[in-house]
Amino acid sequence: MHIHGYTLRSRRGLGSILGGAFLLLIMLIGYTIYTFSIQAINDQQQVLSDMRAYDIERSREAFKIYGKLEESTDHLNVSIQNIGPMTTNIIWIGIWDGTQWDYSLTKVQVWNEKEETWDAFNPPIIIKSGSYKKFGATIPGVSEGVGDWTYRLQFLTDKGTIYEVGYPDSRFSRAP
Amino acid sequence: MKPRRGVSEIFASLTVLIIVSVLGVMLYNISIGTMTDQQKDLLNQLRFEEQKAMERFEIVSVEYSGSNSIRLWLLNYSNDENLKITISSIYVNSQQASFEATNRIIEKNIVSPITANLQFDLILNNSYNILVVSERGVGNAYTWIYS
Repeated sequence: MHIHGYTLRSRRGLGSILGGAFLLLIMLIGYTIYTFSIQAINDQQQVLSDMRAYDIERSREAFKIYGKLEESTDHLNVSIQNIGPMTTNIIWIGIWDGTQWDYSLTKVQVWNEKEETWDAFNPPIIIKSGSYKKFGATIPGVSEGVGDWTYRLQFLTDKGTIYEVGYPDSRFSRAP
Repeated sequence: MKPRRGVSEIFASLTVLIIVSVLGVMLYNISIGTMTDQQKDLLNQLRFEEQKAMERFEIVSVEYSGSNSIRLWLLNYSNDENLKITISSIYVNSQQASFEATNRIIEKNIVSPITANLQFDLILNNSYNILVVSERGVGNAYTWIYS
């Protein structure tokens, strides 16, 4: 059939081409959604796997703490040794005073390499496996402390391990 | 008089083509919109689940802060530098305690205090079970003896 010199017969394949293009488009969209979903699920699995490793690392953190009190100056010197297999980051030391009432947080100057305060170390104090770091604090009246655990000393790592030692304690009879 | 059969066929073809094209574009837009929304929902859900899995916090210590209030010290040690934790609820011996909304966000690696006001008076030498719950539904429990 001729319409102004245009042959309709020549358009016979057009429907198939359009159909094929649509089919290709549908398959492409389907593949994109599939890839996206698989990627998202893989990412989530990776996060869960990382967190399992994180929790295992946390459970392997271990310390030994020794201390010595200088009674004349109320200086409490503490040595913390990393006996775990990995490097540890100490981010905070809490000194809790139990001399008056229930334990309350004592804001004291903590000595480390940078003489920072108790509330945060920035950057964290890094203790490699097997090595140790020394800390110290001047706590007014600490030398007069009697009884069990007049003070509580807390060491917190960036993995959430809380290592606690009381004063007076047998560990404080040894020099740091 | 000239026959108009050819013009009518072209007009009909063009009309059908336009209708099909418009419907096709509309259907495409609706489909893309729906799929984009679904993808966003899925991403948000997965992101939430990931953040919930990464969220870690702990009650470091508890202080007496008055006859019917306690101060909790919380550490956020999540495995993501930018993950902040928002405290949603505090329960003491299964009773909900109120707290100031301004202190409910806990930054990573910072030990932050939050004061909880209880519905009852604390009794000396009694033990209290404290449960802190975050907005993502992660909880941390602590047993405190008021001594």
